Amino acid sequence: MANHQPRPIRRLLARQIIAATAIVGFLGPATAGAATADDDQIPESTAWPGLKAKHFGDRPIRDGESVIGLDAPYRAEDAAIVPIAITDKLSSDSGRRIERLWLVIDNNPIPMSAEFEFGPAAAGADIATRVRVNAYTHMRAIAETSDGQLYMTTRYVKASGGCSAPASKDPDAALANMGQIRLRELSGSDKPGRRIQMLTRHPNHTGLQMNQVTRLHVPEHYVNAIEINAGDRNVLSATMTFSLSENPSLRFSYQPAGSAPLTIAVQDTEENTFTAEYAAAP
Amino acid sequence: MLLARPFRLMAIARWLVQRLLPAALMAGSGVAGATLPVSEIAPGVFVHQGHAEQASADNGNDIANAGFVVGNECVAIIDTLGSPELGRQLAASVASQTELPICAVINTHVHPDHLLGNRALTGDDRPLIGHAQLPRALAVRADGYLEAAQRIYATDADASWIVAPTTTVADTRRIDLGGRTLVLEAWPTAHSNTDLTVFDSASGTLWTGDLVFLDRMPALDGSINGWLSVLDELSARSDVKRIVPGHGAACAPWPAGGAPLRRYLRHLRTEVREAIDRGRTIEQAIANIGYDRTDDWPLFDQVHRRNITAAFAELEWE
Repeated sequence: MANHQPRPIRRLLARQIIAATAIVGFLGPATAGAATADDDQIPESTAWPGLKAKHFGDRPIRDGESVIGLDAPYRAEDAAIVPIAITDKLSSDSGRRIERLWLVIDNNPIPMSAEFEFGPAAAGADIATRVRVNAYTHMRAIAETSDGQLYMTTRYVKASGGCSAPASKDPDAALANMGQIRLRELSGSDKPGRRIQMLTRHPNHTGLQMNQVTRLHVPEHYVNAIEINAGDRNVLSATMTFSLSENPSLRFSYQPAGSAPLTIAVQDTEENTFTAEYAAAP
Repeated sequence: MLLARPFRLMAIARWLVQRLLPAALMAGSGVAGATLPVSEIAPGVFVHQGHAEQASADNGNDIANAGFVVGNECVAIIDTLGSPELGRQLAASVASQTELPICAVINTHVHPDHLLGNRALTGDDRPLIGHAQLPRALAVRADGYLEAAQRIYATDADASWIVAPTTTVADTRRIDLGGRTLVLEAWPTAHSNTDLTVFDSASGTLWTGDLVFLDRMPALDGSINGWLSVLDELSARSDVKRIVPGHGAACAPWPAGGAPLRRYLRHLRTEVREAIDRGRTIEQAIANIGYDRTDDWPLFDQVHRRNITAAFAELEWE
């Protein structure tokens, strides 16, 4: 195997904070985010103007339907596990690539739910995961392309009926096996590269303030960073919050180089680091 | 015949009060004294049957089964229904059947249609009892339940609706009602991670909570493997003559009453495992699995996709 060591994730986080600061400093004329509203009843997001200002400053954000796809169910049957898929729609001869992606869920406790930065070994910016949805909400995939432009695609997700809550089904089972990582290769992709699903056993506790009635306090404890390398080339580096479901799932694509294995490092808010390797079949 | 008429009129008046008035009140503001209709399915075992619907403004979240068991000295309430008002009406139904006091209130699991009546039924003289996991499970879901309640059926829902058990059961517990003992049994994660059954040996009646659904699409909020193994274990019990399911008919023979549920869960497990083995994604599974086998479950579409999701997220770890 390659003698590559993944970068320390803490340093990665610091680097991303610097990157985010640089983004805020990049000023330009503001344009409205284009929401896909094929239903007149979809309300305007009251949260988005503030979120946009906070995370993207005055940078213009263009309609992203031709750059970035976002598949999310219109109705989230299970608020704790809402599968979503972000697809890279840039053609390989466009001369541009998506370098960074943000997932924003407007009405979740921490709306900025995940950020993905793609390295040279990524095969496109296709990402799929499962999220918790706290309420009726807009969900956004925002892409930054290699020419520094921002594009956004928006979907509206309705929470389900009264019984469904964005809570773990079996937090004790997840905690007992915390840190197990499972990798499998998915079939049936029409795009270049190999499609991988990674699952990490983790309760991903959202945290809970002391409740006056129940006297319970559950500290927050969730996966907050994932780094994936193919040999010594970076596939992606990501940070995320408890918007991701219990036992976080991530699908991504990468371009293998020789026989170097895929190495994965997952970090949580208690500074546990879990690692795994995947040797792709030739 | 002349003599009989006043009695018949009284009977009609009583029927009106018992059946129509509570229904009218439930749909409206809820006036003091309203009771919920209950049926006595075995001596001293009373069940209120909820609507086979999703929660709505019209049904006020009266969508689950609940009831009570009457001993020689006191009464145990099993589940408190979907709002404090429904809980209050259930207490009124107890008072309409017996003068004995309520000495225990039991929650079969964490779901809001079964326990949001707790507030109306708590008292210093009686424990509120639930599964050991219930207080935590309720705390992490409370905001979601209240948000849904306010949106769907009760604009006045607030934090006072969230009342967690003060007495919890990690394995088993007996409750003496005077000449009649209830056995409470806490189960590993199955329908939810808070399932508690109540067995009345005097009548051979098992209150299953949502471990059994009848005539209403079962919802998986725990573990499909856990649920099937608990159903296997319960189905082998010869002391259980009948069950009171969490939804559907007020009672059903056992183990026959569990057959449709077990068939649905087994089909679901087989097909989800197959999808995982073939490298399918959770979205593909949700789009394709099991729609040919509705078994005529009411509310199939609404709940089936959710069940696939939950089963997939569990079984992909096998």
